[in-house]
Amino acid sequence: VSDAWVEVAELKARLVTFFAQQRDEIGNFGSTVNQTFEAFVFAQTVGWYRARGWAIEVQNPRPQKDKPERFRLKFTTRGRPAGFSYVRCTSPDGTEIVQVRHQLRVATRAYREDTYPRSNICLDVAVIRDLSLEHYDTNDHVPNHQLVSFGEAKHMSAFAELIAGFIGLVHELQPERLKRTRSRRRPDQPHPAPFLFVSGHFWRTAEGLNRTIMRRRYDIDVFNKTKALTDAIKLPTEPGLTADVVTMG
Amino acid sequence: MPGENDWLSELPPIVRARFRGLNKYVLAVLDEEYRRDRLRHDDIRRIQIEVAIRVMFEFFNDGAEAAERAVDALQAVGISGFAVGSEVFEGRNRAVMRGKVLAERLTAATGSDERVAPRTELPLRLYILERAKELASVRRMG
Repeated sequence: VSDAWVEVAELKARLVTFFAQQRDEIGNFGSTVNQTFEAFVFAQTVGWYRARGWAIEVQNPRPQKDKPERFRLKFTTRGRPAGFSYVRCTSPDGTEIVQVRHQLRVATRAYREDTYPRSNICLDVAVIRDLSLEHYDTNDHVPNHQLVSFGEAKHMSAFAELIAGFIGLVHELQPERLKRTRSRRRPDQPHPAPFLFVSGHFWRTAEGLNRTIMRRRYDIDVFNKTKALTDAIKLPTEPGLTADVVTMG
Repeated sequence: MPGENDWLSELPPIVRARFRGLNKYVLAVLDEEYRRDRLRHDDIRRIQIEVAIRVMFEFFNDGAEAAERAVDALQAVGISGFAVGSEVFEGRNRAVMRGKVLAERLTAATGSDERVAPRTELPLRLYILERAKELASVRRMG
């Protein structure tokens, strides 16, 4: 058979052998790959500010006794924010300071303080105004008005429901983003818009939904890999650069 | 006879979930474009397994790429690396390169370099349709 690259059964057997031999390595890889992608998106968010001339200052948690200070990302919804690193960004003219945080809990817009149960969401990447979270507990949230922007990182391909879920998240946190805000006359924004960053492809259902988002001029971005992840996996860290990403509007 | 997804059971559970539904995805694409009837069962199985290898290959490579870029981007802001649990990602150490090594081993194990790897530029859907066309043509030519 001209196209008999290799018999299917033989190929399957090779795959099974490969998985058996590499089981531990694949397990290690699988247990860190999502976090790695989150770390990348966190770093890219910091890079967004850096590329625009903001001063960057890494703030690490106070080291435990006899242990060196170290950079520590959160990677889980649990834990006191003060126990983890964040990056402080100061605008070129020095008038604005924001913090880029990882897995930070932020109150939803409709939540009324001191009511229970609380309504908050842990964000993969949160850009907040400069405030002390020293005394925040694992369940405490940053008030919604302190949220500047945010990003969600998903190491997977996008389907319509995933993007719809992200729009729901934006609706709960910054509903004003879901208006026809992106016009040609709109000046450059000082902060990235809320974004969803998927490492994989857009399934067709996602493409369809994305088009309607663009038409509605929502102030959100959805990044994905277009040709290959290796080329596309970057936020537009240069001003005006949007190549290789899917931007909404 | 082994099930359609028997190879999946060999995967560690943490990554297994990612690859469920791939076979159905292939069928869905073929159905949408009315290509399924032109193929034999064996052809479909072949496309399914090629797609599985390709997606797996990309999964490893993409993870490595994310790790490299995370490390580089953090380094650019003065951070030498990061840790996930006890695993430290720094420079091009073993943790950073693990995905690349696995992708290479997968290629070596399946011999997929000629057939699958170069075509990762093609969107998955197009890849499926392209392969369906090729295999149907082979069938026609007898």
